[in-house]
Amino acid sequence: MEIALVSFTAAGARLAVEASQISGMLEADRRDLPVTPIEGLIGLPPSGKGRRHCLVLAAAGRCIEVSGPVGLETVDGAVIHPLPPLVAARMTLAGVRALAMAPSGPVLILDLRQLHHRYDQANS
Amino acid sequence: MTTDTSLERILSLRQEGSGEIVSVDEPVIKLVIVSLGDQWFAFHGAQIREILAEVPVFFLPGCPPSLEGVVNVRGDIESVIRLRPILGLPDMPPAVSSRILLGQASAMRSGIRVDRVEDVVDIVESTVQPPPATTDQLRPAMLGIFTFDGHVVHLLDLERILEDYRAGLR
Repeated sequence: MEIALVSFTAAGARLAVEASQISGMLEADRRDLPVTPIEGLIGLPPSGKGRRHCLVLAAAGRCIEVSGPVGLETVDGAVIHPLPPLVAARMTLAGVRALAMAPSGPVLILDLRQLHHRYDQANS
Repeated sequence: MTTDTSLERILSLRQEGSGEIVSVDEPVIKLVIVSLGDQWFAFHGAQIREILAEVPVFFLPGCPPSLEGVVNVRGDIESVIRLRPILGLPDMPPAVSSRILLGQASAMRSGIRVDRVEDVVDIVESTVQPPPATTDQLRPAMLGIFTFDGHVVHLLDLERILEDYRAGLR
């Protein structure tokens, strides 16, 4: 079984979401939708300067701002793991659902649906 | 001619039916003895599935400093916690002699970073004494205390350590 992921970075961490949760990508300076930086949404420190991209959330009309490189990749389900119990209990980042073990290290897979209320708070 | 050999005595007791045969073998327990600086600790061997040497630990953001990261153990992803800060000892970067014990409690599994693995031994269970009644923060995590190779060794309760850590108490 395979899963399509949209991967990106934030504050130096490699993150991803299911591609089905993203409907498109805009350049950060061409956006016309409310935008929330992913770092504030999940609890990472702000990223340094660099090119930013806006991922449009599917069926929500909202954007999250992320750092590149942004990629769309198909990943074998065998490399997807639930968070180990102690990590799940002690990690302070919001919305982290699983880990994908890439050769270069783990990629944190987010469930953006869990973060919608935080998005609303950030944009209210 | 004397017949007072052990065998003769056992047979004699059997014939007389005058007592139980008592084994002189005391129960032994297997322990993994580790050190953090000059302090020695032990875990029950049955709770240590593996001792990992040179395995890359991947940092995860958003975790406390005592949670070093995760390791890939033949396709299984395990957390790695650092025993030093968990026991209230000053934290230090891993040395060359450092090892990761893969510990298994009833409800969970995790890697545990120690400075050094000293030995894996079978010791007579009765040599482990109850933990001393001190107010030391180690006490809730201790099952007992014994001496080995000239060192005082604290036998740790892995179950309690992992549960407390999960609950944010350590």
